[in-house]
Amino acid sequence: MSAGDTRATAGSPLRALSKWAHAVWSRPSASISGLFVLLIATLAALAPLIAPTNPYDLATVSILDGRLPPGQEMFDGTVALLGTDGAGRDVLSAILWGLRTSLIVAISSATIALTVGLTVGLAAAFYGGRLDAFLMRVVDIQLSFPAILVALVLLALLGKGIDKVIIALAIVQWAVYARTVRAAAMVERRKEYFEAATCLELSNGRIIWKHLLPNSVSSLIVLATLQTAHSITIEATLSFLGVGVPITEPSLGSLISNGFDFILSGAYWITFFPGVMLLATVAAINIFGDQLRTIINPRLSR
Amino acid sequence: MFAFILRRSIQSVVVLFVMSLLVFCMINLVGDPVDMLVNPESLPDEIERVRRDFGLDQPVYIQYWQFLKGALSGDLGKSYVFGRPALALMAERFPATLELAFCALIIAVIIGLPLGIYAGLRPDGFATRIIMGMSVLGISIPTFWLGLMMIILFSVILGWLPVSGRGEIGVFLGVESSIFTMDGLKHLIMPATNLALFKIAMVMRLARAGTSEVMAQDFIRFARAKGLPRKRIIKSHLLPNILIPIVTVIGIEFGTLIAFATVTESIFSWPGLGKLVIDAIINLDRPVVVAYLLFVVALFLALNLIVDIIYAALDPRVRLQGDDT
Amino acid sequence: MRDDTLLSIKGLRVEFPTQDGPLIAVNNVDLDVTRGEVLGIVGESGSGKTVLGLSSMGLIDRPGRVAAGQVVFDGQDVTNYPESGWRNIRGKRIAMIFQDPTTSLNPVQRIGAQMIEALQSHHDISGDAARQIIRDAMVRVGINSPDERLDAYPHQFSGGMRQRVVIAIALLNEPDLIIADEPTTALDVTIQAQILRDMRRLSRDTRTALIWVSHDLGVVAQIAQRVAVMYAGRIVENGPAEKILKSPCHPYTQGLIASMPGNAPPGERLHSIPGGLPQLSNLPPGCSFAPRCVYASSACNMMPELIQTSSEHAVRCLSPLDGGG
Repeated sequence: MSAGDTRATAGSPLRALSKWAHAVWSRPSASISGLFVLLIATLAALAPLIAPTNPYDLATVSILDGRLPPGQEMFDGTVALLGTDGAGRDVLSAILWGLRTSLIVAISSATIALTVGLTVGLAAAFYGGRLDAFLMRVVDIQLSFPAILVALVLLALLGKGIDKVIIALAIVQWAVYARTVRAAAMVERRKEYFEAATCLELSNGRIIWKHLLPNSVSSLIVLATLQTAHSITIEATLSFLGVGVPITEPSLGSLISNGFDFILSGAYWITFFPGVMLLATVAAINIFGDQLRTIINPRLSR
Repeated sequence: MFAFILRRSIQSVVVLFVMSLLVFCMINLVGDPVDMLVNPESLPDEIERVRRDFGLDQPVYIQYWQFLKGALSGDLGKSYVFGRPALALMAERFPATLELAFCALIIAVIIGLPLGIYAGLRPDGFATRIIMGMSVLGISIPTFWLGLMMIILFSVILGWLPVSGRGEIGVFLGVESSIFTMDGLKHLIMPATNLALFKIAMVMRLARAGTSEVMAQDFIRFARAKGLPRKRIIKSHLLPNILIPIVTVIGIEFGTLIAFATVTESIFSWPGLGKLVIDAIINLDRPVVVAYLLFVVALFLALNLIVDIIYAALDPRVRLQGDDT
Repeated sequence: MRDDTLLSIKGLRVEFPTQDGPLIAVNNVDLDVTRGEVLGIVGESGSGKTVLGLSSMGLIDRPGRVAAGQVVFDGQDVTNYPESGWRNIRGKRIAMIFQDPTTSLNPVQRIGAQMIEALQSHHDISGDAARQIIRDAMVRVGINSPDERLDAYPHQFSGGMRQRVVIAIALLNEPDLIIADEPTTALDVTIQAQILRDMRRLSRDTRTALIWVSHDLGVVAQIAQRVAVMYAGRIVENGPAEKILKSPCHPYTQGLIASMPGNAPPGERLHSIPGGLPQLSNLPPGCSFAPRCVYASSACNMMPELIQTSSEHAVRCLSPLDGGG
């Protein structure tokens, strides 16, 4: 999309998608990280089915199994491939369940943030003027504070609970989406055909939907990917600090926090493996997002 | 230039005021802190007395007015948990956080800047690919987990560094800091490096992008056409031009470092602001949370202002605006 | 090759890889420049004239490359010369002037410093001695009160002044050859005339060879002794300036002359050459100009060679115009 291009971004979205898909397939870093992300998502979704045990079913958990190193057999015969934690829960199962929680929170909050951000961004770009100036000022102010701080404050206000965490993360993220969408939509707006469309008195909704929106999609896809990785990290940090998800539904961050106490006594696996999982997940999503950015918009791939 | 500073200062004050209002309103809509202060089984009289003592029986706008009056004279309320003035608590803990954030910043720049510039100068090099790969890793690693791993490695397994806490404080040129003692350094190095990690990756990417961009510009090519040696080009033409945007970003990121310190301080039991505020959030210690928020807002505004001034000072195009022929 | 040939380019081919195949910016170009002569290179944007100039100084950067041919400067083969070798040539024996003086100068470095470094990179002289030389150089190119100007920044100068500084820098080390790429295009007409005049005088006085690259035949006509016309990466006509302007042999040259505003009768429409430049990555076989040529015939599907019509004049056309263009 060159600056001098005043035509509409016509062309079927399907063709664009297949072009991207092909590009992803031909680049090893993109396809490997993409597959990995898919794998993780599948594991998380199927966690209840594939985890060796259910670590949160109190009936099956026994403290006698506590602090077993990786590879040891538990009381009921299953092998704890990654060891057990202080209360006797199988670390591998806990990781799968934790991954599930982490991803649910991240994806939910990203979806909400995206919807809100999209709406605000499109509105700002379309209506322009004072509405635009006001909305962007709000966005700027919020973005001048680090995400973690905003999240902390919000959670201080909202209290505990997984839904509150999702809301807090959504509030943290919407601003970035809004700003990106607005920027992309503004580019579209300046093109000549936009004036033409308004002259024809097409309904606002139609103009926004068919014209402003498609242009924003490519930047949105990249942003959503990278933001998801970012929110996984923030949620993990919050849970680690104790202000995130409740202990009944731990995420990877909570698991790492649980393992903290056992470091000095040598049971490293309780904190180590959840961390590796977290690292792998976030890294894969980041790499994939980076690759997407290169594919979709080669000019900005610096 | 002076007009510029004045205008920005006034803007900052206004924002600060608005934020204080916002913060106060938000905090007041949530829960009743009295429940935290007294035993739920106390008699209603008792609860009423506590409420009165803490001024929580007044209407909201009076509470805010009291709050504002107090704030302007330096009194941001007393911590429910410690019973001491919130502001005093913050002042006590702030130097430790400042020290940590400052060291982290220095580490991030010392490591990130040269690596990023190198990557920008040799975009197709093998070393560059490794460097960029590590930077992706850098932003993906959960800082807190890495902190734990560092503790395991350096303290538990190798026993080289202490597990937690701040070391001895030394004095140099009238400044108190634990940088000046060996013991202090030993305590400082892990948390500072841990905090710096994310920033190293960021500085690296910034430096690389900036370098690529500047090197592609005409005046670099002109400098080459003049026959200047490469070192000179890097020193006099590349560096000054990338440093300006980098300095401004780093300056703003200093604020983020202070915010992120909350995590590092929790892991390493570093006696700074971060730990204070996390505990305050968990314990619903409102005055401390409010004080922290206002403090951070003020800090960010001040940082933004300082950064704008530095930018204006560094870029001769902005500085000498009145002199165009 | 004559004894006083300074620059000799043979069969030069410069390519830039693109998604659709290599883009051939300079295609089999032969060109000679003798000491002290002023050569004009004329062509539209995209004709390859800038790339030709850059390759004479080894300034073609990745991903572009010199795919074939030879560049010989003063007897030395400098094709694919290493950077270390170029250091002694660039700025000292060959100097280059770019089109846009705004982007040629480092925005955050003082003018004086940028000029002094050009001197000190090639000569071992002190700062004071250098300043003296710089002052003289500035006066020579028409910059009055040089002392004030030395400490100023580029943005404090007007466009014309900046270009004079660039020209001064080019002249500093008394090079044998100056390549000026559209040096007056970005300036307004009165300044343009001044600079043209000054460059002509300077070149004569110092016996410096000058390659003046431009899209404007009118400008070139005022200063060049010989003219080479480029189209789509090839030289299509080459000869004495007067002859080419009065009786061009190539249809493209004829078209260019006709489209000069001075040549249109008052009140009549300006002539323009129909069509546009071909895609350099997708050139048609045969004469590149044929699609736009009024005289084209089926014979033009064969690429014509550059044929000497006289000892000094060459043209690349199957049916060259014969005088009285």
